[in-house]
Amino acid sequence: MNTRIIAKLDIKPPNVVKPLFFDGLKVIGSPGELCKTYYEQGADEILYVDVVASLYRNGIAFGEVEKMCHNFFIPLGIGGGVSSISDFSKLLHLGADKVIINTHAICKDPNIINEASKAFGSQSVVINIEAKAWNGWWECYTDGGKIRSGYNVLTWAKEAEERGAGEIFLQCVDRDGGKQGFDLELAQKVVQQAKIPVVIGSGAGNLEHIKNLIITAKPSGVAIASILHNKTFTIRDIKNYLSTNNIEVSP
Amino acid sequence: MSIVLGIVDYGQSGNIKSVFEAIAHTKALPKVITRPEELLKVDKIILPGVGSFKSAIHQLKSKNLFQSLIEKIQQKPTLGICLGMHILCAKGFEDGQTDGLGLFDVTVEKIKTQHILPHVGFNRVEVISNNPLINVAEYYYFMHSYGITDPKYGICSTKYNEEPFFSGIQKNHIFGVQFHPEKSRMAGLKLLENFIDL
Repeated sequence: MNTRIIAKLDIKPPNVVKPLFFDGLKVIGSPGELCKTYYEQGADEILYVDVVASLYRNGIAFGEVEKMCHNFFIPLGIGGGVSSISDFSKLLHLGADKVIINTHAICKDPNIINEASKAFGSQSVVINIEAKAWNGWWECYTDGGKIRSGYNVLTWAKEAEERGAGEIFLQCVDRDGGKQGFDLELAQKVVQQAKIPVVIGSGAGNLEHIKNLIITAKPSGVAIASILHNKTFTIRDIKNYLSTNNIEVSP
Repeated sequence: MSIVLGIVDYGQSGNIKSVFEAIAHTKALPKVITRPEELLKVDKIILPGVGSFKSAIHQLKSKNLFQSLIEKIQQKPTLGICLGMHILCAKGFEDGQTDGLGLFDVTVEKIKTQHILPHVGFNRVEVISNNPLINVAEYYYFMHSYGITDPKYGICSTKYNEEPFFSGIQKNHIFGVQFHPEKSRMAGLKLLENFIDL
């Protein structure tokens, strides 16, 4: 199976922003335009994560989601501030193909994973893990990489999978936006343990970083933000480079 | 007059908007169906794709759509997408055993593979018999754990890490695809156009 090359949009409504280590937001552009751009570049998917919804406790900006779901025909995962089955349903109705959840599931009600996967199918439920490396272990953070949960990443990944999650989206608080490469050790551990697809984000600074991640950890997908936003590379550049290096990607 | 495509809204689940947007991009007119009588006003029917077998059937029954769909699908060209294809079949085994609409007398079972599930991403679809929807191998987007392995109605097939399954089925004017044409770039829109042109 080919590796999915995914564009990740961090959102502070109404803008796409790019935080550095989940902090210091820089405005990049409008979600609708960037979705279309990355679609035209050949992205396999788009992940849209509102990075302030949980932290500010103001819920999901449904209006913003509705405005942007036009003119691109690849799957869209939406998350940030999701806290009920009705949020799942609304997002799916507004144009999401899957829903991404973190803070609410880990802090308040992990059972929402069971309920959502029963109602919408496992494939619609994506667990976002915001990992922070400590000495010898990784901790799940919440609220857009701001708050400690006390949960071990590997324990939580397993629990979420057992509860019915269909996919894991693993990000790294210490790496995100840093462009210094992925946390390969963590990526490897999470992928090896999981029986569901794992998408790895946080760290792509050049093409070798992406290649090394795919060769070392064999994730189902790679999520890329900074180097797309600042136009260092297009999705097409990345796919061409991977193909020439014998890594299978979709055309 | 444009052809009107009715997109059946199961209620709680379904990626209605994605299908609606894709149809709106073609020459046909999309219309969301929530009540049985609305089925009379559409030329063709689309059963969209996100949800679980059991809850979709439960919701169709609670909206009185179950029986009217069985009748209307026999009269009007219909395309089931992913879960929409599954519920056209006789039985599903997701979260217990549930009877489907029964228009294809095959069952929907968990994909047999040593690999991770769900099967997610763009994958190659090979044409195995002449059909009006797909005539050339293409990449389409998949997102599923359940599928059809009975060859009876197969029109195209896909391999997931060597394990093949039927990614498209047809019985007269009734079609099902395992992938999501509404999320499969231009190739997906082309397939929808082909369905509209039937």
